[in-house]
Amino acid sequence: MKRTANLILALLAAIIMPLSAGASSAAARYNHGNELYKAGEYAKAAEEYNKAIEEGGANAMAYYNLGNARLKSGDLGRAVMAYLKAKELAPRDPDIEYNLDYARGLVKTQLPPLERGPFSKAFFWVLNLFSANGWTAIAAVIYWAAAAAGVWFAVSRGRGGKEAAKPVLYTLLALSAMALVFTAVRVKLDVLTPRAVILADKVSALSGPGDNNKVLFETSEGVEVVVGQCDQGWCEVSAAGGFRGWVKADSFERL
Amino acid sequence: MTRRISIFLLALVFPLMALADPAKLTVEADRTSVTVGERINLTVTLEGDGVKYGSPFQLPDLSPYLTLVGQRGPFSESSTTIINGRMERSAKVSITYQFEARKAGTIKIPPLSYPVENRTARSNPIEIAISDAVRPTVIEGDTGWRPPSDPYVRVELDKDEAYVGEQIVATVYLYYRNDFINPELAPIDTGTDFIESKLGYATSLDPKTETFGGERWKVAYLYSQALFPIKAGEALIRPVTFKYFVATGRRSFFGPVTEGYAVSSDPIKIKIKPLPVAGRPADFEGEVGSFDIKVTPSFGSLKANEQFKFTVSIEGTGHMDYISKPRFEPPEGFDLYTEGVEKDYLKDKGRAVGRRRFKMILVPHKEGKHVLPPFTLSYFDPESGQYKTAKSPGVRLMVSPGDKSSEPLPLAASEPEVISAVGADLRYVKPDLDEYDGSVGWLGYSPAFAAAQLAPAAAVLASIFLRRRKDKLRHDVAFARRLRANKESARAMREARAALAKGDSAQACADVYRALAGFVSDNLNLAEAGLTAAEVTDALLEAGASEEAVELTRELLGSCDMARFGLGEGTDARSIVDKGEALLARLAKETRQ
Repeated sequence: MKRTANLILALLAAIIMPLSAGASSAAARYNHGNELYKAGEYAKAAEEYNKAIEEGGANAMAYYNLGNARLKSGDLGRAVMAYLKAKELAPRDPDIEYNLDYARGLVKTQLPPLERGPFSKAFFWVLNLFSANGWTAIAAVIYWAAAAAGVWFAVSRGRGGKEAAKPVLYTLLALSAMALVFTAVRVKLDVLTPRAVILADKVSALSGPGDNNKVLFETSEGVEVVVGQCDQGWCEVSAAGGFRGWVKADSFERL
Repeated sequence: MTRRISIFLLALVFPLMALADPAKLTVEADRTSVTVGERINLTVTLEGDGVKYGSPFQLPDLSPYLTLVGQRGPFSESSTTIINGRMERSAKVSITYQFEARKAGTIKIPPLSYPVENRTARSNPIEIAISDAVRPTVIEGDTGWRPPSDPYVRVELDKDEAYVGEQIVATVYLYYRNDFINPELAPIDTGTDFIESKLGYATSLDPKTETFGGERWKVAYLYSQALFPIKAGEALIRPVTFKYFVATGRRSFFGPVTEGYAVSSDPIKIKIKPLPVAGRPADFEGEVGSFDIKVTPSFGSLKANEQFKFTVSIEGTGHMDYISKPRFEPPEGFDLYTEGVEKDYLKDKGRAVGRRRFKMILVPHKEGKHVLPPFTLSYFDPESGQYKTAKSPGVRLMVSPGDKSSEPLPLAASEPEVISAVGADLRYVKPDLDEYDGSVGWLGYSPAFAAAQLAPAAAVLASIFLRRRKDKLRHDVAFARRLRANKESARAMREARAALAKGDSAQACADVYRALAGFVSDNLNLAEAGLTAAEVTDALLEAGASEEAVELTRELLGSCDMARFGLGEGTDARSIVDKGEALLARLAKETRQ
């Protein structure tokens, strides 16, 4: 019995130790990045933040600071990418929102802003309250609660018990459906949509893959696009305002 | 004879044919000679007795010479005429297609066809000559500059360099040769280098034609903005994006298909000079432009301690947000209060002009004739490059002795200072971390999380199953009895074993009988009371038990009957119990439903 317990403890330690070591190393990298940033060594700070993310996983603060360091070192496109990743993880953080807007304001090619109606605005306001993981967790919790209410309803004897369970069950089912919709949209936007940011200084979007096609519109570093099909080193991208065209695959980087 | 009949029939039919008005399809062009970039209208008309426009006219592919850019119609009209007592109805349908010439050459539009009842109407062919745009010779004043794209947005500034706070007028023009639809234009993004004021905009495109590099272009004014630089150095006027749509030449169910495009103006860098230090007045607070100060009314007659209300207006070319309150030192025995501030933005000769009005209250405490000192405002005049001071006329007051008990009315506090942004930068980095909390990705990709979501569904399904089973047990007696048959018979057999252990053979056999009879009655939903061996065997056969098992049951029940009533001398109770157990297992298997 004692031997088994020791074995379990050893296994747990083997699992946890590398994780905690990775986390502490990431924290050290992050803090060192802050020191370099404060010293004006923005490019080196960006490297440290990058390593922190590689070692410790995605973290909104690390991505935010990475965006700052990249922007300060003149890397506008990758700064926008970092802010977008930070916003995915912490959509309510006002600093991330502010700096992302600031970086977008520096993009040379300003695409027309999306115009939304009042319903759409309200929907996206609610949607932006939580990240994809946040909405997934909320949907899961409500789903579990709805399932518990379903069990309560199923096993209740007599009319009284079922009548009491019914409003709770229906409310939770409605909330579960709503949470599921928000989760699906958030996941579609953040996880499933192949987003990218233009990194080249100036890029012409053409009507097809190849230099001999007609120029449809011009983009520049920092423009956010969604990547579609790719062919022969070219990819079809679409930008805000309904613009769609083909650009070279090395002119952008996926999030 | 046959020939005569034929002639007679022809004579009969020809007039009838002449009476009928056959459907006629025509194609007309408003011009047969165009230059590249010009537009041409083709009108397709179908007319005749009872014609109906069903399927659309099938236009031939005219690319690359002509591209369909618009359509008007279909327009239909019908008329009824009575000639010599005979009523005639005719109908007419027409559609006008607008094409744009895209390539020089001669294009022959073949005859169009359109089905009308049992025949096909055919139109006339048309030939269109398309020539290249004629490049006029370079005229005087043509610098050779040519817009780099069509369309092209150009931002023009009224000066090449300016002082901090000096007004710069930016005017946005659109240069184009080919027409477009649904134009949209964003305002100049002044970023953090300027503050701006709108001057005017075009409500519709009103182009004038100009020649650039030997080509004729349309040039349209779009809008103008006044920009006021807020810091010295190199300021950037960012590109202005112009969005528009053009017809692709393709058609969909809803009409011609269009594609959206965008073009941006070139960014413009302008040098912003700092204000000179030399000659700067001590009371200078940053006003740049040309200003006048007026005071209304400039004369008043009142009693001591009464309020004299007047307005000080500053008007000039600077941005009104930069205008501070004019300097004024009230002499001893006078109190000055500011009641409110108003500002207006005006336009004069294409430039922004502002006016700021300070509503003031002066309370004299001593009688007599007074000429107050003027209100002054020091400013930098960028035209002359010098600091100047604007002065108002001095207010003249005739103050008579007042009621000594009268006190000045309580006044509102002076004008509050309004905070305004003077620059923008990134927000600072987030602080150091004690623990780094990193996530590995979306929760949905975690197998453990996904598997955990199955548990609630399984719990709901299990609870529904249990609920239904309970309900069935409650309402289906046969089902409930069948479920308990094995349990009850097993219990009776345990009791038989116990009786056997006590040496009570009669009781053991009675228990075996009860187990068998109970099993059969519960399993087959029969009334146990009064159940005879014959009924048991019939029921078992009906339930699917083999004849051998039924025979064994019948024998065992008989043996039990004999033994429990003490009639079976030498009956081996243990053997009966063993057989009973084996038989119950066999019956349970053979009668399983």
